[in-house]
Parts: sequence; C-alpha cells; structure tokens
Amino acid sequence: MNTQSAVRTTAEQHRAHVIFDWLAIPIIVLLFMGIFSFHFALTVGDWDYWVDWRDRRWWPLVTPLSLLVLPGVFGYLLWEKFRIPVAGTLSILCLAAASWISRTLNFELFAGFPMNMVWPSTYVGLGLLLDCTLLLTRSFFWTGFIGGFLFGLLIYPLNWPLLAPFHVPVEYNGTLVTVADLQGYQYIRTAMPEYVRIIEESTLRTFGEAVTPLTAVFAAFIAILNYWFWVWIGYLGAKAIWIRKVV
Amino acid sequence: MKQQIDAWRKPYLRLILCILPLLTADIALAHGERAQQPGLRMRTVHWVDLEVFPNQLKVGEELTIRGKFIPSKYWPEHMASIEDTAFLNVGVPGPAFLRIDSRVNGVPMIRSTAFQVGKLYEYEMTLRARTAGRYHVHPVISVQDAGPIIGNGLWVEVLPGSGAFSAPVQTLLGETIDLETYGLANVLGWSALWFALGLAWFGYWLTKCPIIIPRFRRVQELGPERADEILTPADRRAGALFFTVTFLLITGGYFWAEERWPITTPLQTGKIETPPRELDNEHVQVRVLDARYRIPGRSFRLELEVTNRGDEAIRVAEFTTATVRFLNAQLLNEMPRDSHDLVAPDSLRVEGGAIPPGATRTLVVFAEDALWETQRLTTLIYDPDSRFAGLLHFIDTRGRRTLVEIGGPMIPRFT
Amino acid sequence: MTASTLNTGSTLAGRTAREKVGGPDAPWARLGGTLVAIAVLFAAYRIYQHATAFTVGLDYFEPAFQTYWMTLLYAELAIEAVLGVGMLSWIWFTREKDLSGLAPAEELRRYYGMFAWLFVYGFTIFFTTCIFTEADAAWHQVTVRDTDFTPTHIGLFYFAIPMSIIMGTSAFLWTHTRLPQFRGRVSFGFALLVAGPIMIMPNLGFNEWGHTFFYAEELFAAPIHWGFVLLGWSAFAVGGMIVQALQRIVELTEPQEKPLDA
Repeated sequence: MNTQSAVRTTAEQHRAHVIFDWLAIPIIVLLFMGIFSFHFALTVGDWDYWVDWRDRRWWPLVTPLSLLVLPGVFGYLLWEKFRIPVAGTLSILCLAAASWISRTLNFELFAGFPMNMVWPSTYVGLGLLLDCTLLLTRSFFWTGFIGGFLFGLLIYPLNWPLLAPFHVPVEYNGTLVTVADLQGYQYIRTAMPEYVRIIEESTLRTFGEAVTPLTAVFAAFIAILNYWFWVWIGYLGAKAIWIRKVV
Repeated sequence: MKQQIDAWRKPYLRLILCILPLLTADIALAHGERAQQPGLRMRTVHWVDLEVFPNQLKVGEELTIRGKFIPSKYWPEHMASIEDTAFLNVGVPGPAFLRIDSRVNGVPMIRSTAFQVGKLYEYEMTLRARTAGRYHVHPVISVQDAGPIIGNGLWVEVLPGSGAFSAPVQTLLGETIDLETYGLANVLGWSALWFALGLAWFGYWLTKCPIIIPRFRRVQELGPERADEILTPADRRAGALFFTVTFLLITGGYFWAEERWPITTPLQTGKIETPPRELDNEHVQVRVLDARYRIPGRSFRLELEVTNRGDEAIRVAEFTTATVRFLNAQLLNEMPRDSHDLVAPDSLRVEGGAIPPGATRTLVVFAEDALWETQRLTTLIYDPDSRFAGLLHFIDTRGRRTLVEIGGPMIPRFT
Repeated sequence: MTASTLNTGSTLAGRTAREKVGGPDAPWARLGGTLVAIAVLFAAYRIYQHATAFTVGLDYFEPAFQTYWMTLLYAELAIEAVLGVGMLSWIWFTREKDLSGLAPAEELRRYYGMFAWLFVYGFTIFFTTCIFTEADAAWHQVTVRDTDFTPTHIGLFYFAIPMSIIMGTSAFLWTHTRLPQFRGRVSFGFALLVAGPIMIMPNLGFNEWGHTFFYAEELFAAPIHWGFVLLGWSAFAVGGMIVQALQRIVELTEPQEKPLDA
C-alpha cells in the first residue's frame, strides 16, 4: 500500500475528519436502531409491546438482561477506541426512536391498537447512568458494579410514572382486573390468548408487596455480571481480525 | 377477450393489474381455518348453533356471537389437551371490535380456563364495533401449546358511525376513563423528557466533532495506560451533572407516581373453572361399523349401528364435522346464510330410515358435497393419523335434538 | 496529533470548511439518491402491505391471495435474483486487477465510498429489522397463521432481508475489490456483519418447521425465534471492521508538508 498521505494540510485533514463524521455517525445511529430493535423484539418482545405484559416478576428481570447487550458491546468499542461514553445512552435512544416509529406504524396504524396499549417503555435514564458511571470511574469493572447494578435496579421505578395509571384496579363483569388487563381483554388479539402472557402468578411465597424490590435487586445483581459479559463480547468484536485463507 | 386472458396470465401484467384496484379493495376474507389439517379440525372442537347478529351495524354498536361447542372425545393424543388450559377468543383481524363481554356456561371468560371433552358448553360474546369494514367473525378457542381452534364464521359489515369512538370504563376508585386514550399524554410526556435528556448527553459529545478519527487516533497514540488523558474536567463535570439529574429524576418520578396513583394492583391472571353441561344423549348409542371416503364422488360413507333407548323414533338430520354442516333435506331445510357459511343443504342421504324406540338398526349415511373439496377436508387421506370425528344430529318425532359424537378410522377409496 | 487538532471546536456543520478546502469528497449525490430510492421502494411496499394485508391477505386459499400476494412473491424473488446477480457481477467484473499504484487521494475517496456503502446497508437494515420485523410481530398476533407465506413474511423474509443481503454483500465485495487494505484477505468483522442476514434464511427454515410441528403460539420473544437474534448479534463484530478501516484512514489523513500528486 502507498505510504503517502491523501491530505496536505491540517485544513484538508479536518475536512476529511468531518466527512467521516457525517458518514459514520448516521451509520452508527442506523445500525443501533436496526440491531437494537431486532434484538429487543426477539428477546423482550411482547413485554415491551403490550402494557398488560409489564408485570412485577418477569418484565423487570428479562428487560435488563436484554437491554444491557448493546451498551456492553458497543460501550467497549466506543470507550476503548474513542473514549466516548455514549454507547448506553445512544443505543437506547436509538431503540426508543425505532420503537416509537415501529409501534406507531405497525401496532397502531397497521394492526389497529390504541397507542396507549402498545407504548414502548422508557430506558434512556439507565443508559445515562451507565455512561456517566463509565466516564466518572473510567473502569469497566466499576461501571458494571455500580452502573450495571443501578441499571437492573431502576427499570421499574424509572417506568413507574408511565406505568402506574395502567395498574389502577377495575371491577369488570365481577372480576378484579387492572386497566392494562382490561385493555388486553377488550382489544382483541386473535393469536394471543390470555394464557400466553408470561407474567407473575400468585404463590404462597410472595410476601405482600415485596415482589418488585425482590425482582429489582435480583435483576441488579444479574445485570452486573451481564454487563461484564457483554463488554467481553465487545472486546472480541472489536478485534481487527484478517482471514487470509477463506476455505 | 382472449387477449385479456393471456395478459392476465403474464405475472408482471397481473401484478400491475392487481395494484390498480387497490384503492377500492374493501373485501375482507375468512382467515386461517382451511390451512389446519382436516384431522385436527374434525377431532378437536365441534361447533353448533352459531348465531351472529346483527350482520350489519355501525361503529359503536354491539354485536352478539353465540352458540355451543363440544370438545371432542377423539382429541388427538399427540396434541396438547383442551382439558389443560384454554381461552375463548374471537377470530377477527385484531381490534376491529372491542370485547365487552364473553361467557361460557355463564362464566366470564376474562381469564383462561379449561374445557372437558365430551361436554356441552354454551358461549356468548358481546362485541362493540370499532373500525368500519367487512369482517368474517368466528368464535375461536385457543388451546395452550396446540394453538387456535377456529369455529365457523359469518360475515358482518360494520359501517362508519357518527362521532369519535370511545371506550369508557369506570375504575374501582370511581374515575371514568376512556381506554382509547387513557394515560397516553402522561406516557408521551415522560418519554419525551427522557428522550430530551438522552439527546442532550449525546449532543454534548457531538459538540466535540469531528470526533471519530481524531479521538481514535489520539487514543491509539496515548495507549491504554494514558488514554484517559483525552477526557477533560468539563467532561467529568458533565458526567457528574447528568448522573445526578438522572438519578434524581428516576427517584423523584417514582415518588411522584406513588403520590399520584397511590392505589394500584398487580396484573391479574390465573385460571378459572367453567362448569360443564351434559349432552343428555344416553338414550342414543352409535357404533361406527365402517367409514370410507370416496374421492371421485366427494362422498363420505358411514355405516352405523344405532340403538334408540328413548321413547320416540329418531332420524339422522345432520352430520357436522370440521365446522361443515351436511344437512338431510327431508328434516332440515336450511340454506347457507352467506357466501362462506359452511352449510351443505341436501347433502346428507340416510339409508335405513327412522329408528323406533328400543330398536337397533344399521344405517348407511352418505355426506356428499363439494365442500369436502373446497374446505380441503379431502387432504385427510394425507394425514399421518387418518381418523375422523363428527357430530350426528338425531331428531325425534317431537322435534327434539340429540347430539352424538362419532369417530374412528377413515379409509379412502380412490376409484 | 495536537490537542488543538483534537478540539478544533468545529461541529458537524463544518460544511463551509469542506467547500473551500481541496481533496476528495464523499459521493454525496449518489448516496443521497440511493437512500431516497431505497426509502421510496420500502415505503411503496409498505403502502401496498398496509392496503392489502387485511383485505386480501388473510386466507392463503382464496384466489385473491394468490393474485395479490403470491404474484408479488414470485415477482420480487425474480427481481431480487436479477438485481443481486447484476450488482455483484458489476462490482466483480469492473474491479482493477492491480491496486498497487492507487493514489492516496483516490484511496481516501474509496474509503468514503466504503462508508457510503455501509450507510446504504445500514439504511436497508433499519427498514428490515425494525419496521418490517415488527410488522410481522404485529400481524401474527392479530391473525391466524395459515401459510408460511403470510403477507408480512413475504415482505420481511422474501423482500426486505434479501434486499439487505444484496446491499451487504455488495458493500463487502466492493470494499474487498476496491481497497488495497482489503485486497487478498477478508475482514472477519465485515464478513460477520454481512453473514448475519444471510444466515437468517436457513434459520427461517427452522422457524417454519417448528411452527408447523411443535410451536403453535405466536409469542414473539419465544425460544423458537432466538436463532434469529443470534444472527442479529453477528453485527457486534462491526467494531473489528471499523478499527481495521480507521487504522488506514488515520494514515491517509496525516497531513504532509510536501504537496502530493493527485
């Protein structure tokens, strides 16, 4: 390869750098929107599609498990190679944008559900906590320990201002339901019967209202390990590997 | 004319010709049931007495679907059973209707339940039209791990209504809410707030543009030990500020919501019990001696031994299988109610006549109609478990009906 | 690299600087035109889907379904085969045999080209994995499946994903035939990035087999769908490819005092 440079002056260099920003940043945004929404649809999917899936037992546990994947993988890349702590916030922002576009187009306009039944939860705050922890500690270990813990812990309280009104009780045909359950009942989902919902069922061992904190703390511990694991995957993914012999 | 037909056969012209009338396409079709294996349709749930009324209504008006179903005693062993977990559903394409009420044997079907094979269940659903269109409305029973079992359906036309559609509901706290819009402004507000905060953080880093190549280069130059030098005190201050604001907003938002909606309950689920009803058919006993389907004649021949222990003579008036009704025109003079009502009038020929009280007779019953073909029931012969089940409708001299389920192996005849 | 170069204070809106200073530029017009064309194509498809899925797309065994949807399926498969073979052939047969004499300015211009290809790929991926995938999720939860070729499957698996495969493999081949750094060897990250959508097709076979024989529910986050997400994760190797490209771009954008031959 030619060892010469393609630019002569710092002005030309600056121009080249600006051009690459104009190309690369939209690519990152598009890939985050595409990959994250695909990944999230196939792992969390229905818990985020339907308001009557957001329970106290599974939703706050499954969500951080899935949600931490891209912040971990691309957190490594953007921090280790660029020292830019935005992977958590930006990837989740892209997920949020993609989710709102898709819910509106597919669930509201195409399938006909009211938006208040299929709104995406908000997770941007969790990405911010993760990114800021990484910036302040400059350590993946402490980011997992503190940021990852908060990431798993705070999904429920972060969303409670949005979700709480849908858990107001209603008496319907002699049955106690929440507003969310009633939406799930009234708005017909032909291929989604009631039993398909993977949500908390009562046991003799749920001590009063301690269900949510239990799930949150457990999810928080899992999230620590989860973050570290995906950072490691990010480390593998960022390796510049060349293959000379294909077959 | 011939040229038109030829043009129609060319795929690209077909495509163009198809796209043209799209804007006026307002037909809606039946959905899904014909794809299910005939064995599955015959041996899962028998549907009878479907009523859907009115067949034309306006958005906002109510529709009733009612009828009866009998889970089959011949339910395939390899399939998940209806006796475990099931749910009464409606076969319409999505929330074109609101489900106001649904009951089986008087029990509300808000939650999942289970149904016993060989028992009688009466269902009634009240829907409220939400979106204008023409819909083929079916009852559906979803069986966990077995999927939807679709009942027979009828067409309903929903015309536009006057005024905006709303779905008012009163909560247990006394507040009347509209399910169409409830809580959405709040969700939008919070989502926008978080989106703006996240965008501000991203924006802070974008102010350093160009960032991709200069920072990549600088980090490589500094090496892993010193790469943190690239960060400025302003960056750290921004990090601390955003962390604090985020944490306070999450905790503040949570306590605000607790204050605003102090009374909430968890999502409700769990199975409910539906008491079954008996068929009251002990006085009629039927044994299948032979069952053959002759493919060229679309003719299903049943040889039955029928014992009548009742006090009136009985005759076979109808044979129902896989939602198709084969009628004996001598006793039942019904016609299809619409283009997709699966009624085959005058399709049931019965040799052997009436069975007097106390007698045992051998009957030969022929169910012959093109519906075998159009409903794809003939593919039963390609089923790895080639067995059938169906419901015989006996009528006595006083007009009383007795339903008896029959089933067994079915042998095809190819000539 | 000096601190002043790092913190130039410039923003993304540095167009004025770009217009005045010389050097190669990215193929903005072609990129913009391609993005608009893809957006129009996907939007048109989506409008067709919106108009016909719930009217003539609910029953596979109705003649109207064959007319409106199966015809579209056959047509799109044929068009994609021609488009894919055509694009890849064009890229392959117009390559230069020898890249050793490539001028640095031209090489930098080709890196812009590589990123423009990635932009196109990313744009197609967004439509595919976000909008067309969730259309499939929404559809299958409100209807009863009666064929492997449902209107949203025809849109997702036989239109959008093949389009992504065409764009991805074209980007891959263009990069590996136009850039000296990629000549004669394969970027593992790039290969994985492109392999993901390709491997979705065999996984689709498993999906349909499973839905036919043992999985009757339409729960979207179900284990039967996890194979798809594994293939989505292949994009995590994009970092390796970016690092490879940036290492060379840094060399190419090092200012030299002596004027260069263009």
